[in-house]
Amino acid sequence: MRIGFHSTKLRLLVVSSILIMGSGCGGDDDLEPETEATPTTTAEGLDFANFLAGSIVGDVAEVECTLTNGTVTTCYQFTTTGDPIDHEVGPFCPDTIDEGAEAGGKWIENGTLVDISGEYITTLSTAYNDPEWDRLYDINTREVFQVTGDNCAAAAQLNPPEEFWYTCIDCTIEDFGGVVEQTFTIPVVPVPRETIAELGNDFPGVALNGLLLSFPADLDGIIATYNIAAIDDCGGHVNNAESYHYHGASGCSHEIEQVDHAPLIGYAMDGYGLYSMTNADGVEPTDLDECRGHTDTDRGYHYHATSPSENSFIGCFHGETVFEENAGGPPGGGPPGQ
Amino acid sequence: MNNYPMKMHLFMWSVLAGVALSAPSHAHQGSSTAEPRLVCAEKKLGAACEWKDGHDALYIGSCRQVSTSLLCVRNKPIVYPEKAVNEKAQVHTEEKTHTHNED
Repeated sequence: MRIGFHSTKLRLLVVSSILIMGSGCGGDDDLEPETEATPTTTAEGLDFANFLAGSIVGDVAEVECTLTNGTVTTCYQFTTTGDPIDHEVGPFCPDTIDEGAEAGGKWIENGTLVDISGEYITTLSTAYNDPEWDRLYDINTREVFQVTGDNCAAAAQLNPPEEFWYTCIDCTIEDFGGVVEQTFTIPVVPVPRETIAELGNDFPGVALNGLLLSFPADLDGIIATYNIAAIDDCGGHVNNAESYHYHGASGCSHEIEQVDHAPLIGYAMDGYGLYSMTNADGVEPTDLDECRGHTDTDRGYHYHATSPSENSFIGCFHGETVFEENAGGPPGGGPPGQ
Repeated sequence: MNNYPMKMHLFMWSVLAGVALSAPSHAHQGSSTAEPRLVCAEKKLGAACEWKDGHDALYIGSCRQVSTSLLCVRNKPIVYPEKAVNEKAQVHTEEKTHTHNED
């Protein structure tokens, strides 16, 4: 099974991560009964007028699709540019330990979003209580060691070759050969599930600029090899499998303002709307379910993203996503790491 | 397309990746970047969970299966420590005073 995001590379990576790391989650015996999904009013689903102009390539098709509950229905199938056309990419890493926060992006340390300044690089050994982190820079030349250019393909992944340990990952879209168009298949009409579905290795959704909303980066896996896979100030970074993608909602990308409600920032793979965490007054809803969704009369069921420091968007799927028989393929989703 | 080569490819890739990933087990010590994962490491799917960030703000939610592990996904508003709230209020007051003086 996979949900509507098409990339062979991703599928290869995901099946490996499942096989390797699956034992860490406990077996089915540990699982508690699934929670009943909250009854909802009808949600409208995707409105392509909300997407940023130029973010969708070609026409939006309506195709027959099968949902995870076996229902055959109609889905939108559309391809996006994979290019963040509404903001710059990066910066990610400072060149020297003397540069300020403006020269770097963000990192998540102990649940907190921090600026990657040159000075911050020098504090990593203290933050992680491990002097090995001081190998990330040269105290004499002041240089911060980075992965760039042709090395990105080999280095921007979990457990890179040892020659790429002790580096800050500073990779652009061009370093991976340019933008990669992304195709999504999402139900035209969201269908609430009888019980919620865990995200697992499925991507949460798509931003209104057409970029992929990815699941949490494996931060501990990344620092295990003394790497900083920085995200930029817009909450995204680039890797081989997903090109530029987001790990958090930072407010950079295209959004649709709402009256007395948080702005719309994207859609989840089940077709429900995804809104930012708070409204204009900084108030977050208090009645979110475990998927981070709730219902109101104007929007029906919809989600609210977490804060960027939480390295996620939603907690689970309230609605059915697309099931596709995939010859030889694993459950859909993304790479295990960055 | 013949599926067999693809499955073989997946299997071999998985084995190679598994061997590779098992290597750097020494890695870092001390503070973790991944409190939301740690707090769910010994919990069941759907269990209530909470964790604090580096500023003592409290995050309350439930353990969800995200990627390959359980992650504490918050569904309650962040509870900021009283100190942080007070500091925030003070900054807000100072900003207002500053603005007023400029006027």
